Amino acid sequence: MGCLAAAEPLIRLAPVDWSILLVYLVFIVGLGFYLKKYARTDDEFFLAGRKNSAWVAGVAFMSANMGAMEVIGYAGSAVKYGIHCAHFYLIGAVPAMLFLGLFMMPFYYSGRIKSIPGYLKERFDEKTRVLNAAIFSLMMILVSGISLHLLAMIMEVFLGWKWEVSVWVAAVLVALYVSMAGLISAIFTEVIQFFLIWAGILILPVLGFIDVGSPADVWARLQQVGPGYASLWASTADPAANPLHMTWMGIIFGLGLGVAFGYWTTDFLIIQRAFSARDLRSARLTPIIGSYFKMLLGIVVVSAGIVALVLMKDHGSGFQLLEKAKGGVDYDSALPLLMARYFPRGLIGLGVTAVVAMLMAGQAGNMSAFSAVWTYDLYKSVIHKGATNEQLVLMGRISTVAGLGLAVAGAYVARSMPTVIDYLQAIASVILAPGVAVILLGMIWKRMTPHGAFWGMLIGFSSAFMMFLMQKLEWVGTSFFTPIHGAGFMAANFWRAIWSWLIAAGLAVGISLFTKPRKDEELVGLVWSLTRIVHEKEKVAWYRTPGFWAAVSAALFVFFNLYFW
Amino acid sequence: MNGVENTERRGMRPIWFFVGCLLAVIGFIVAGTGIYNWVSPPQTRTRLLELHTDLWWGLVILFFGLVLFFANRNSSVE
Repeated sequence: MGCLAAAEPLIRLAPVDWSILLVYLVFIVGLGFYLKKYARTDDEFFLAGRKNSAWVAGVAFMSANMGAMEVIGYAGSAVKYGIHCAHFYLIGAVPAMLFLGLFMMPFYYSGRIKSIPGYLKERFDEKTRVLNAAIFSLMMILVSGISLHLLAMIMEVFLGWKWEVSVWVAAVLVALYVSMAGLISAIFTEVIQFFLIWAGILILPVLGFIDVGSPADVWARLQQVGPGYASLWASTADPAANPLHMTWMGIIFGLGLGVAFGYWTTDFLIIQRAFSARDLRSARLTPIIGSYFKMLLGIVVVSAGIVALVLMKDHGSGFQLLEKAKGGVDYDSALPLLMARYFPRGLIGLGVTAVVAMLMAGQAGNMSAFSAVWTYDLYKSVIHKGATNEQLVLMGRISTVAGLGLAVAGAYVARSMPTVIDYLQAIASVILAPGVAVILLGMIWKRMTPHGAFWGMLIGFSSAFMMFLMQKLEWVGTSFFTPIHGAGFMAANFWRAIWSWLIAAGLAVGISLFTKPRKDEELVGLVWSLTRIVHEKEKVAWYRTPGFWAAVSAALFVFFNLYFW
Repeated sequence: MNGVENTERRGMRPIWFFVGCLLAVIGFIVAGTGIYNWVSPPQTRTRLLELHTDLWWGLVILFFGLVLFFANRNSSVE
């Protein structure tokens, strides 16, 4: 352990805890070897052969989103923002997930599209596809870098491992099993991770509630923390009245429309899981099933974060978050510290394994999506147009390894950033919002031209990046691009998303009006008004239809928003 | 694809089988440690140790894992 040790750890793992972690690591690498023979064609490597049921695809879809950032980062956000963190699980997810399942999936699935850039090529042209693929690849590398950094940071702070050792060990392990079987092994490990996460964190808020007294006690003490900590919407008329420092407009348009619709309806990393479903009904059900898990995860994660917040404010509890090296509270330490507080040996091994699983499966998801987009949309479409099936699979394996190498470099960049969620939302506001503006407009407006799409996306992306840079380099304050004074980092992210969305959409519409559109017959199946929506061939009972399950999910969404209004 | 490959590839175990295997092993270890913690409490006491969460939660995971394992041990997917 000498070469691994960096500092005195907060958690001392017993041999039994190490054995649980070892069982998981050996298991997933062994699984990669087992699955290798099932991933020989490009379709099998990149799309897992399109054989999955709605449940497997739905669990994998949700798992691809349940990375460590989602769980550890948002638990930290709940400490910082109180119940407002639930917006990320409700308005920031559910409407977009249901929209994807009900309206967008028939487009994506019936066209047998292998990637979102693939759709852009069919709808617009090659240059739009390449631009989107390049931006998406960049995002995957950046997000992977954050994941790796987070894993290494947790290992360093809690277990005393050296940061560099953790980054490289995780990267090598993920490269090993994803490069063997591509999306199949990524999906398998994601589904396994899904259950490990629930096993590792489900009891955490329960123990927290018992420790504080009861859920009612936690709620009562949350209301005493400060104004706006215990209400989702009632405190959003005035940005000074809530810890997010945002108004309802920024939450709905920035998070709900700009970021959430961008992420859930156009991010290939997660949509790729729905593409692996065996038929259209299963593909449509995939994000709808995912929306239930998303809300459940929100309850668990936000509850855990709120317990940590309440304990932190109670000086007699002995619970304090860690301090950052550069000063300030390290909110991301909330969940691991709760584990250390309640989990004895054995259980803490499971908790640590769940955290490692989150990070490794998140990496696997990022890398399988990166390699698919790189191989199909950059390598096959630009570099080597006549690539054979074997060459594509080989390139898939090579790009997985190369992508992880770049992600390691990204981890070093992420190490210098503030909280991971703030950084993640910053990336999303720059990269996703302009893309979704172009894709959604392209689907509903047949007059939109390839030039309009390309320049709208490019200038939207560039302007968002410039706004981010100006704020990052402190040329302007975080309120500069927001219509409110005193806006925080997160509010700046949401408003950047709104502006870049509007710039991309405005330019796309403006340029399209002055350039030549494609002929209607070329757009059949690609634009809503020119497409006869194909319904599922199989007749199923009403309670098995995507519409029914989406309606129940929407009702739950409304209920949670009203209950915690 | 030749016949040998076809035979090799046939009968991929469903994902639920693997989930069941892993959860059963981990549940067994956690529950076993829970019994040991009850008999011989660790020196570093965590909050609510007296609830023996490790034991009953380990048993829940073990049970869930065994259900998935036995329900899928003879299944395969094409």
